Parts: sequence; structure tokens; C-alpha cells
Amino acid sequence: MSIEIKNLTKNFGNVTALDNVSLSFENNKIYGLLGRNGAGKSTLLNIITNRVFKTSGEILIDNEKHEENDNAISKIYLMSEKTLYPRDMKIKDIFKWSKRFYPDFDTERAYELSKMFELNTNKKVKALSTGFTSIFKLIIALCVNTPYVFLDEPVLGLDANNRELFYKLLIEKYSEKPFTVIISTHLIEEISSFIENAIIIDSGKVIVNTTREELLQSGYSVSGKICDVNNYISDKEIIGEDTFGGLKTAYVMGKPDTDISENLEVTSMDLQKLFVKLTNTKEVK
Amino acid sequence: MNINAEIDKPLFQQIKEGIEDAILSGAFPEESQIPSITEISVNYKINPATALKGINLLVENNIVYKKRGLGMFVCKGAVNRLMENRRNEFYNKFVLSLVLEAKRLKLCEKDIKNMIERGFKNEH
Amino acid sequence: MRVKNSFLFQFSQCIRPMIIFYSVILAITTLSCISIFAYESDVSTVMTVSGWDFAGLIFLFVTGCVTTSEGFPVHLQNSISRKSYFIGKILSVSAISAIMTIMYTFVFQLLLETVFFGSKVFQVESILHLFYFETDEPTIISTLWSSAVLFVLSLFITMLGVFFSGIFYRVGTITKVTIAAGIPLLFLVVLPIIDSAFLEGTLYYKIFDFFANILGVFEQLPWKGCLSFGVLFIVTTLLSWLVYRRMPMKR
Repeated sequence: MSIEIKNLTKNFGNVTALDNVSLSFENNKIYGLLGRNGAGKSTLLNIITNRVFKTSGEILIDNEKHEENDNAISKIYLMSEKTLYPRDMKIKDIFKWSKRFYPDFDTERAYELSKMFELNTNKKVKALSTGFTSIFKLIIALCVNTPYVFLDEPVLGLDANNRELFYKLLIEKYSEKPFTVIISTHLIEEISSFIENAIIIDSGKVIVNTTREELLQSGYSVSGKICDVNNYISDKEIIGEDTFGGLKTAYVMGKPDTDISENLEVTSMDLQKLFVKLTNTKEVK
Repeated sequence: MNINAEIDKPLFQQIKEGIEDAILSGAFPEESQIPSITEISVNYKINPATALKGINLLVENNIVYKKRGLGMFVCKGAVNRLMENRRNEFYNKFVLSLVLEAKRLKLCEKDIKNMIERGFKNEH
Repeated sequence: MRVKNSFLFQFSQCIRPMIIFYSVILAITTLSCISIFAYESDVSTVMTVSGWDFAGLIFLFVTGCVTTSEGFPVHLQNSISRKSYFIGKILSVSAISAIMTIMYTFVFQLLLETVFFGSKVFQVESILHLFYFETDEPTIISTLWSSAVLFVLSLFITMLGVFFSGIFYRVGTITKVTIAAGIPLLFLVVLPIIDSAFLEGTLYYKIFDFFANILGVFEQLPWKGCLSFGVLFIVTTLLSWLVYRRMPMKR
């Protein structure tokens, strides 16, 4: 039970949005799909959910080809940045139709969550602010009970309290009954504590696909005098460097040498820093 | 207990130590129930698998035990065992490095004892 | 199951417009009656009401045109394939065509002729009925035939709307404006000018002639109309499927 993506390529005219992407999403894990704006995250999710057609490659959902396959795609709910519900529809009617299209949708829970987020279900979609538009889509995502839930920029326009509430509800639901979650975002620090795997996409290519722990251990930073640092990094893979006066910080892949000089200071990198450095490589080189 | 995703120490280790601290401080007395995996992961916004990994370390070390269907409880004698472990750790982590640094600074055993006495006095 | 839900959704999208359509019609009819009775105390002439069947066809065309831009994204959001969506579409097109035909033939006519004013004052004239049966008093057979033609015409016109709305959904704004402005411009301005200037009116005559011919008006054969527009409906459906088959979500 998994989603397998093999050699997926997507071109929009002569722009390559996804370039030979191969990935697999295993069941019951929380994935962070990270990438800068326009890296191809949304395109990837839109292709998996049959909203947009691929140019080439293959996608299998639980070993079934996904394209135009009702059975396969109905296992996924994608909460997208774009609102696809009719603007004139009331939230309570959207709940009603969600129940029809997704029989496992928990209507009672949806009303409960609406109360928690103080969402007025008698309002029409067009009457909602950006924050509440995100909230009503998040509520559906939390109640739809499909084996795969994709969240594309889920906390857009949400204030700090509601973001916190959403993350807690998501983890609560996940820990009671695990399901596969893919969160696509550029707000890495907010999800870095609970994702299990991290996938980083840059310019349509997957550049990192590993567990959170491995990613954290995959790089470190060394700082010290320019000559000392240069000396140390001469034989290493560098993903970025900053110089400040006579001091230099280099971001290095791999593990620090055990016999590292006392003149150099080694610190670990958090996900955010790693992400920024990894997706900045072009500018550095 | 504080959990910080941005620091070096793995999250499951932080969970384990956080609960140990709570047991040592008496916040979770022996035979009392500790928070469930769900409560821990929701509260600290961490993956339940990570929380489970931390708790499993505590179970392996006989600090907590699982009662089927009821939850997790602090073992009898857990405080003593933790105290013992922590004391060993204290020796390894602080005393040994203290002695090492003292030697570098050419301080003798007596000097250090005096310093320690001074430290205890200052505290009061 | 998914086809059924898709059908229900698409059908429910059309219910409100239909209610509004009939409310407007009934309101206009009622108002015109009141004004007639108010000014003429002695009503001896027979009033005829006609054209509502064609108004209904225009309504159906518009309905076919507007449902895709909102209906299609909802189906994508709810993980319904284009195939199931399109089958649901055919079913809902059939359902509203049938309802509109039944409403027109039975409810509307009966309501006007009996409840409102009595058949002596008010008579509903069906243009299709006139086509095939001239001014004969309607019989059960002739009414059934003309409503059968109306039904098939409705199917075709609605599907034509669906076809255009699919095209509209797929193309960019510039093409959209070109089509929306170009088609009326072509048929109402450019062709008439060419027609009167160079062809001495034969072009439009031939177009009307063609439609009258395939409707079976000349021979007064309603089954010919059913058959011709049935075929046109199937062709439009197939063309629409080509448009919807690989329709992507708008970026």
C-alpha cells in the first residue's frame, strides 16, 4: 500500500515543471514536501490527484494506475491552495456533498471542528476571508478519512492560534489512526518537529528524499578564520558559505572530521537552514 | 519539560529525558500514570512514532511499564534507578571533565574541594 | 455510485435556475393577463401565448454553458474522474431536458388553459406543433409528437451549451472573448451583410431551409425532426467528450 511515482515529467509548453521525478510515499507516514515557490510541489500533487495530466511517467496508487481511475484517486483528498468549491455554496452544503463523494466523511466531527475554529457554516464560500477559506478546507481534510491526505500550503492566512490548533488536531488524528499525510509548504520550521520524511524539490527535481533525522545529520556548519575554514573544506562537499569580515562559515554535507582543529567551531544545521542552503546551490556556484 | 526541534539532540532523546526529569522531580510519582503517546505528541507537536521511540527507551530501562488498555505507569523503584543512572552520568559527564580541566589549569585535589565547598556555600 | 453522485450534483445545480425561469414566465403571463382584464371588460378575442418553448431552449443552452466552470472543479476536488463526470453530465442534461419538456407540454399548458383563465380566452400555441400540424386542434398524438421533438431539440441545445462551456473552460481569455463576440458577430452582422450584398439573401434562406428540412417541416414528419436532432445530439456529445476527456484543472 503506497503511492509510487516513476520517472514523472511534466511540461507546460516549453517549461519543464517536473523533471523525471521518482518517489514513493509509504503508508501511514507524515511527509514534508518542501521547495521554494514554483519548484513544482503543487504540480506534483495535482498530477497525483488527476487534476492535471502528466507528460510522461507512471503513477501507481496501491498498485493501480491512477489516471482517470475513480477507485484509485478517491483514496486521496487534496486540500489545495486554490478553492475549487462553488463560490455561492454554503459551507454546510459543502459538508453535505463531501459526505456524498467521500462516504467516510465524518459530518459530526466537521461541525465540531467548525465550532472550535469559530467557522460559521451558514456562510457562503465567497463570504469567507482567506484565513477562514483555509480553515473550512482544513476541516474537510481532517474529517474526510481517506487513506491519503495531501495538504498544499495548509496554513495560508491562518493566525498563530489557529495554526497551532490545526497542527495539534492533525497530530491527534494521526496518532489515533495513522494515515499518509503529505504537507507541502515553505514554512519548514512549523512542521519540522513532526514530519517523518522530508522531500525537497528544486526546479522540478527531487534533490533530497530522506528521513527527518538523516536530513538533519546530513550536514553541519563550520566557522572560523577564512584560511582555517578554507583549509578544512578543501576536500568536502559545500552547499553554501557566508563570509563576515575575516570570519567564514561554510555549510558542509556529511559528518564533521573527528580530528577537527580546535580553531573551528562546528554546529549542526536545522531543517530550515539546510533547506535554504540546499535550494540556493545555483546562486553560490 | 521542553522539546525543541531545532537543537542537536534527537527528539526521542529529549522526550525520554523530559519524562525522566519529571519523575525525578516528583511530578510523576511511582505507580502514577504518565501522559499517553497521543497526549505527548499533540502537546509537543511531534510525530507519535518519535514519542513512542522515547517511551520505549523508558520501558526498556524499567522506568515505566504499560498496562494493557489503561496506559503507561511509573515503575516501582524507578526514582532510585534513575537517581543511580543519573549519578553515574554525573560522574562521567561532569566529574571526569572537571578533573581533566583542573589538571590543565594546574589545580590540585584540595583546590577543587575548596572550590566545591565555596560553590555549595554560595548557593545558600 | 460516483456517477450517481455526480449526476445528483450537476442536476441540483440546475434546479434553482429552473425555478427562477418558471417563476419569471408565470409572473409575466399573470401580469399580462391582469393588464388585459383591467383594460378590456368584455374579452371576446382569444389570446395566444407562444414562444415559451423556444425561450426554454435558450434557457437550456445557457444552463449548459454555465455549469462547467463551477461544476468541473468540484468534481476534481472530490476525486471524480472526467469519465464519471461526463456520464453524470449526459444524465443531468437528459433529466433537465425531460423536465423542461414535461413542464412545458403538460404543466404549463394545462395551468394556463384550465386553472388560469379557461381555454376560451387563453390558448397556448406550440411553435413545434404549428410546424407539424398547422392549426389543427391538438390531439394526444400530435401533442406527444411535438413534445418528443421538443425533448430531442432540448437535448441537442443543452449539449451544445455543454460543448461551448468546455471549450470556454479550456481556452485562454483572448480566445474566449473572440469566440463569445465572434460567433454572434458572424451570424448577425458579417453573414447577413455578405448575404444581402452578394448573395441576394439566398444564404440565410438556405440555412433556414436546411433546418426546416432536417426538422421535417416540409413533409410535416415529426419523426424526421427527432431523428435529425437525435443524431446531432449524439455528434455533439461525442465532440464534447473530446473536449472534456483530457480537460486539465485551470492553472
